[in-house]
Amino acid sequence: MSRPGRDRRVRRWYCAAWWARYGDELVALLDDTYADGPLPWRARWALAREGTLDRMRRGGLVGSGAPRELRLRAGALSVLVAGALYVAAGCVVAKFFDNWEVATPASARPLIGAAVVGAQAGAGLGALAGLGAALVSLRATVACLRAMAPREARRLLAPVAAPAVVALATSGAVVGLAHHLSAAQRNGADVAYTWVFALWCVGLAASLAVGVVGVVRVVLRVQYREGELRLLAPLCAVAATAMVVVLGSTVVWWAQMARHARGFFAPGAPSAVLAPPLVAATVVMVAGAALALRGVVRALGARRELPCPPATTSP
Amino acid sequence: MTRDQGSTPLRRPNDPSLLILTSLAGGAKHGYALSKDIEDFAGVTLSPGTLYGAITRLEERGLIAPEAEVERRRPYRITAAGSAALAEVVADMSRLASVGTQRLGLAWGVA
Repeated sequence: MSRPGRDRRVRRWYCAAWWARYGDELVALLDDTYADGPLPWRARWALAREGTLDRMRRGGLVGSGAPRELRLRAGALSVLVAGALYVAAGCVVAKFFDNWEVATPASARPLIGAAVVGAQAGAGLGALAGLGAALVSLRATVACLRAMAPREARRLLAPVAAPAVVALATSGAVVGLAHHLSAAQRNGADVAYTWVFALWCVGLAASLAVGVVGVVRVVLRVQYREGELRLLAPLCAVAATAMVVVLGSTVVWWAQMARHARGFFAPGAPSAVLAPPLVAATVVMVAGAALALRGVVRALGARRELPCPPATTSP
Repeated sequence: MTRDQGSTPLRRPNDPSLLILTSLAGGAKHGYALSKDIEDFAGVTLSPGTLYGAITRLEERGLIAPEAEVERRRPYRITAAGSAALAEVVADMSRLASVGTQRLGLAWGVA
């Protein structure tokens, strides 16, 4: 690899501010250490790790060097990303929840039913927390958009609005199509519908990813007041609690279904309780819960460092 | 043990920050000279990424300071705060080494 090519590859791991300060020195050290030879894998890995860590530190995601507002915002955004993972995984789990009653003996239904209700309640609680966070962010977002040129505002909002419109329109079309099909056709008998459904899932996941990136860009631009930041942290805690409830309920449902209705996951193969989509969804939810809890710890920690609101004195 | 604004403290003998401070305690050095010195006295090879990650954090914490650049190579020197932090860790380690040596019945200089 040529030196300019090597330097370009190294540079992409670091943010512009870091590179402007240390870039020349780092390149000189690479020249001194490796001359024209290739970078060993250990050195490449260390550069990637340190560059990424520095970006995360500057963004308030790790360490305590970033301002508390940035750390609180980074914590809230971690919870937002975790929420998006839960929406994707939740769609898969919800599909498995369909028709569980017909496959289970009456004696097992109370606990399994409670688990389903628990997952639904958790999802509802999470949605309410998300709505609350959106309301808390509304004033700051409107103020931010008003301060921008219309073209810049459109460019900022398009990645949020476009995926939402696409997701709603395609979901409406798929639901409309499914309405005209029998249960058997919806569950694999109709090959064309199966393909449409699979494409819709991929499109929905892509829309979700683009939408979340769009929201992150908006949140990083807006200026919150301290009171709004104070409200965001507990809302994050509520959302993370909801995620843990959904995860716990799903695991209880799964364990009970495996115990009482093994054939439910793959008719004709009672041992196949580890259905790959459900395993993948659960792994995503575990990762999401861990990310959310980390975000909550960060957000609440930064909230504690915010100055106390002025005490109100009675006349 | 030094704790600075909740960032990673100097705690292990092979901690890159501790190795850099120890090296700079002997005089200002740029990246390559630091790397070679650390290899000589500690037998630890710090890759350029790890070295500059630690340099960034140490500079932000005010434990080291940059000097004028010479042909793209910028030497760093240890600051008073850096010397104090290093002295504290070295004292901790000396106490530990002393207790360990005593309890193992070893004499200094005997392997």
